[in-house]
Amino acid sequence: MAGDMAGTSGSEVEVTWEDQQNINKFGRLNNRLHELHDEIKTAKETCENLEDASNELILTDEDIVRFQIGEVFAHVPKDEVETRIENMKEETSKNLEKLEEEKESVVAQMAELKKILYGKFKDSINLEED
Amino acid sequence: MPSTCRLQQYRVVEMKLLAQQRDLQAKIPDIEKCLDIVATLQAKKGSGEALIADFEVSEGIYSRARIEESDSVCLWLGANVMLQYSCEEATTLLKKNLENAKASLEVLVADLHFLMDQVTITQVTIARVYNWDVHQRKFRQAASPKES
Repeated sequence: MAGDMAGTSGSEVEVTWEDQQNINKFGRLNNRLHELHDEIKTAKETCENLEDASNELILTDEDIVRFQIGEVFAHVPKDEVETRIENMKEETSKNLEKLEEEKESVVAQMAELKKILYGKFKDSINLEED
Repeated sequence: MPSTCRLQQYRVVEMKLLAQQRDLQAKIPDIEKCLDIVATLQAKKGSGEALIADFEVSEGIYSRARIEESDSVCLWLGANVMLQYSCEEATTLLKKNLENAKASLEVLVADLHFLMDQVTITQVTIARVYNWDVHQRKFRQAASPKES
């Protein structure tokens, strides 16, 4: 787990409750960062799939397309499918944007905390990924 | 050392909570899919034509179904129970289930955060006690040659 105190020098620095809270916050942010990584990957894949789907849609010459709703494939007219895919693409890209924004904020907060904690504990603390 | 036992206990609870979180995270898209279908059926109601759908009979085998216009749907409630609802009632029920699932997930995530904090505090405490012990040994070693 990132952020272990491996100080074998027997350092004298006191760990205050505020320091502990900073360490806790760093741990939480780190976990959230990993989650966001996975969520962003999934969202990007979904975006790509929707792109491929709408490209296939343009290529096909059928009027009725089997569109997956839940567990079944409903026969839906091509125009409606187009509209649905457009809406899904917009929703996914908005979601992706939100996730990227959150990731940036998390990375910034972690950098701040690193500065504070390294400043106080120097070598007694390790905040890097193993 | 009791703190390491405490740490193991925390890990056990963490595993349980993570499993619950995965279950909830799988349930939520399921409920959303059901809502989607009910909405589609409702939308078709006015048009007068039946909905044709291909569904999976078994792996790799699909069949065609013709769903006539209807005012009601059946919902699987679990425990071998299925009830018939009107489209509006079904939408209300499914939306309520979705809200509950999302709320439970929120509570679960908050519990997990609390637990993670406790784990971090315990790890830091273990490290600090170890360091203090090392420091004390050095201190005693430095002191004892002087005594003898």
